[in-house]
Amino acid sequence: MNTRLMAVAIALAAATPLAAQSAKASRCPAIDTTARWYVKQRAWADDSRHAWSNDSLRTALVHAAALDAHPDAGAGALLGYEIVGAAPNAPSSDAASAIAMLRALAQNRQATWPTKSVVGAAGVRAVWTLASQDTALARVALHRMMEAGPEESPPAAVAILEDRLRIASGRKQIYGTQLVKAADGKLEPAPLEDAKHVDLRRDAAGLPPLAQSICAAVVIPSERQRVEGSTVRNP
Amino acid sequence: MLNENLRRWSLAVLASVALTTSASAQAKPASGGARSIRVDVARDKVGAEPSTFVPMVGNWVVADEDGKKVVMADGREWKRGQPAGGLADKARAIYGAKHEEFIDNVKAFAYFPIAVAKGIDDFQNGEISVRFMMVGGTLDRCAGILFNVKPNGDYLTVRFNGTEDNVVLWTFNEGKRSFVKRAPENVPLELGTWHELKIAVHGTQLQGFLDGKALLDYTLKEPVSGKVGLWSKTDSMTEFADFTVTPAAR
Repeated sequence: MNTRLMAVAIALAAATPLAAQSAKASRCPAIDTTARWYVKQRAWADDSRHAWSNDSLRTALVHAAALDAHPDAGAGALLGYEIVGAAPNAPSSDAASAIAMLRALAQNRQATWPTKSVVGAAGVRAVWTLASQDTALARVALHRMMEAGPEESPPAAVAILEDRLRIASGRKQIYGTQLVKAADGKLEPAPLEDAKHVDLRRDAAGLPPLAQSICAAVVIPSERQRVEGSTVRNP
Repeated sequence: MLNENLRRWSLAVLASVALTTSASAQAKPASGGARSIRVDVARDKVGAEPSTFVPMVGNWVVADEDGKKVVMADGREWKRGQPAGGLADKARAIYGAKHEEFIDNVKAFAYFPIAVAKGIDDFQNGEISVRFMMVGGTLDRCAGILFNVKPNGDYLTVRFNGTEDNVVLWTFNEGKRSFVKRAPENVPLELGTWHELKIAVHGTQLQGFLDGKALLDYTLKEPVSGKVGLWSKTDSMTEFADFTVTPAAR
């Protein structure tokens, strides 16, 4: 399973023939598997050492976030983009109670927040996915994830969460992860602060360059639809 | 203990007089007859460590920003508890035989990248200013002025934090960071824009300024005396330019 979830972050980008095909078809920049963002995400998503302390919480979170049913949920996000306004995956029946539990946990400074050493990379990803369904949880989760630091919370997820909350509150984003459809139908970043250094920030957070993400946002979902004949979350 | 530290510090200052005139530290007269010392990196190589600052914690490099060489705290590879490379040699170079205690404390402060300015060994009264531009940082986006750096690694900093939008005075004492005072006004600053942070020290009176506006006022427990430099936090990516020290006219 760990490899499945790791694939969410990585596989669509480079490791699958699909991604390679997509990149070729669209003239997307070739993905460099030695690039820092790729190596960082891959290393972070590695749960192979089973080094988490609370397996039951991890299982519950993964189930509540429906990652067991939809392991590729939000895959675009870890490729460095989200489409503003795109409908999230249907939550599991346990999502609401998990969100309430996490919100309560965040309020209690004595309580242990589910970081990588507690619930593994998949568990952290589940928290992050649940946070996409609840703005109040997203705010507290962002705070706790930033506090926990890069070993315990994936910087890429922190970056996307911060951008998402900034756009939701009417501020400019800083990583360019939130994409909107322009009048001509093309995807472009929502208003962005300090565009000049955006790829430096994305590199630091373990996200691919912005141009690569926009290309992936356009190509990968349509390629997947064509190849798999299924609908996907991101249009 | 305090007197002993001051005595040691005085000895260290005397011992390092010969180093006080750095080749790249430019001195010029300021108003009132005092001489300003601007520590710049114009002659340094982009991508290398600055020659006019000694990085003690974190990764500090010379960067090119619109054709001007600046000092960058590059937090992209920041890891918990990681001092700068060659810390022991650097500490020995500026603190001589007293460097062991400095190293111990610096390791405790490894959340906070610092770079000590060469050639300014005992700042007591006057002003220190620096222009800064926050570029990024997932956990933190900070820029600070480091001062009152003691041979044992204790120091003070006035810093701006772009994730909190505030100016705060912190003290670092025997491996422990303590909040001292927060400026009452929050000031949101955009990434990628230049701003000026300044402190003015007169005896035990400390003032902090952001873009020329006085935001912080505090009475210190004892007068300032020590080395100065730049301060950052965890994974901040911050550029610094025009670090200028203007000692008060005696």
